[in-house]
Amino acid sequence: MINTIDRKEIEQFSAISNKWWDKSGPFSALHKMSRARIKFILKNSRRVSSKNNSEGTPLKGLKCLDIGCGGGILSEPLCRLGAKVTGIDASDMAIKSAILHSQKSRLEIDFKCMDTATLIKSKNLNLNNQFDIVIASEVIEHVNNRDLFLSDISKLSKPGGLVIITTINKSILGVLLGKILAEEVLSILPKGTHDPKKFISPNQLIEEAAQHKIILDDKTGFIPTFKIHNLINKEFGEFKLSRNIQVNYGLAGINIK
Amino acid sequence: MKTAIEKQIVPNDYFHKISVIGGGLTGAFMMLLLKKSNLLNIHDLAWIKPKNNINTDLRTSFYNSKNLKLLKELNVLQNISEKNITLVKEIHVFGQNTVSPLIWKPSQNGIMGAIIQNNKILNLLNNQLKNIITYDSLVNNTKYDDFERHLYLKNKTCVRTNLVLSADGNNSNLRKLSSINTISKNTNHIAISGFLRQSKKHDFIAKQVFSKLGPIGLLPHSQQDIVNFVLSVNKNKAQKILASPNPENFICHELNNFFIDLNLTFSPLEQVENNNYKLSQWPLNLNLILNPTSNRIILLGDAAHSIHPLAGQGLNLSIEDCVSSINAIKNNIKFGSDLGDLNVMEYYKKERLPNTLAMTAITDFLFYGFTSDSEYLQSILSKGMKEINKSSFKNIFKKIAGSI
Repeated sequence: MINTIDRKEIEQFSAISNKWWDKSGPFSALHKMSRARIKFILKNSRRVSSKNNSEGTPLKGLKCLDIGCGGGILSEPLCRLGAKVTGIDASDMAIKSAILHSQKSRLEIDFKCMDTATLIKSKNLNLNNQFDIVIASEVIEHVNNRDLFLSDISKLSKPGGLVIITTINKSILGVLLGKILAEEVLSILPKGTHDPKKFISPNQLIEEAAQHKIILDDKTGFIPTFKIHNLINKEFGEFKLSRNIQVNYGLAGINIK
Repeated sequence: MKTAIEKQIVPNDYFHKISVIGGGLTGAFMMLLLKKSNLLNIHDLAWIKPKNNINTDLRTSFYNSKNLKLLKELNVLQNISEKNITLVKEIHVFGQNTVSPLIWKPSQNGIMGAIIQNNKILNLLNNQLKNIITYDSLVNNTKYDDFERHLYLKNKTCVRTNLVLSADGNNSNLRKLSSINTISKNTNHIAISGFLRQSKKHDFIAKQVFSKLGPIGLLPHSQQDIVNFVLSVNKNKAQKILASPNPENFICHELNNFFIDLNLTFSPLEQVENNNYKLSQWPLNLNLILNPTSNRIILLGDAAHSIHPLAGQGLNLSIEDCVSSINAIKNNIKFGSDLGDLNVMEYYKKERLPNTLAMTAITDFLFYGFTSDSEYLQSILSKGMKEINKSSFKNIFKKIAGSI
């Protein structure tokens, strides 16, 4: 079966899957990005959510797919915000970690070890055209067939559904910070986590997504803050939303199929 | 998501997202704020407090104008008759004598606050909280993991919770169980509270007197010829006063001498609002807690700070603790984070510590200054008050006390 998985990358993530919830471990950057990502998702979720939802559960009633969910760092807050979350990841170890953590957190999230292609083809699940929100956060830079991946997202998303993609920019700063600083200098990420050849610029991603009827019309940058203790601990500070899209960025838009 | 009730693990093991400990004014106020915020399902809240043991004493508290407004917004005051709310229009602070008191007035036509009996407010709060799941017990032990705080109660129940808001008082058991560092200050003083008749109408002016006996607060009562006094006096003198057949006579004598120039006299009274009353007394154990949080625990009210009652700000600080806790929780809920996330504790600490420390410093300064044996120091403080009265510096105190 043709799929988007890069086996080498999956093995690499599986090797450190017991560290998903170690907030100062190899996934610390994702934890530090969590609030900024949620802020961007919530801002755009107003396009598909009910206006009657309460302050604590703005995503109530929405079916949400978290592609490449890993240990569930993003799936858990989405669930607390009221969404009915399905999280998928090709790493069995990551999904086991996600299931264990969500159970201990008393959250009901449907985690599945599979890729988008398998999810689409699964007749039992019948999840095509089902999701109000499809999120691929920090995933697209790891897939080996971007066109197929975007096509899968389009198939899984409801007509009129929201699609959110976050990734690293194919820019000098993106490579410097996302690859060299994070992996080589600060060692925040394990070496080899990212392959700059797979990075993509926002304009190219907008263009490629449009070919699958996904109109990405909102964008934001994610910029890490640095305080003295962050530098001493060799870690990123909390990420903030920014107009600067040179390093990490997010795109959001509607599937008009 | 299943509710707390559905998630029982064993018959005596319960889960609630937030647990409030303490059935006093602070605990009840915290619970009401949580309930009214609508942030969580009612079953997600637990209230751990021993059976309602409402005191029969008539002790009162001062609510500054900001907190009084909050009580009104929460509909706490809708079923209380106006005669039970004694407005405070001015606060006069006297140093060694009646010359040049420090006078605080509201900025514009407003009030400084109001005095309300503790039991009346507690009843009103409890009336609004009848549907909260309550555990009539005390916390015996506690431990935590990455997901929850476990509270082991004396009645063999275990309450598992994401976040504990503990308002279990000055001698907070949870503070001890979770090894939160406490700086205890031995004042060697006892507070004595009761009522006196005043020869002239009080005109809704609260007075703070630094008499030779010790600091005396005189709070206006709804009957304009009655004041509620709170005397802070060292233990030796307190024992003598309380052992005498008419302790109030001691206090009247002291006040009559103090106010002789103003021709103001005080006399004991046996009944207040047709009820016989007894003097209240309690030891003044003051605590300073520099970090009122621990893993999944936030301390509120006297558990987080116990200051001298001379400024009447203890309960106001406690109410502000509750408001800050709600803000911290809201700030976390909007990102879908775990309720016991470190960010909640950090937010609370950042918001509360400056005010708590400032109020502790002011009350300690006044208390230790005016009760020192050095007449020279007392004289300097009295003169200093005169200067403060003339300067805009006084507004800083007002701002800290939240009366603007």
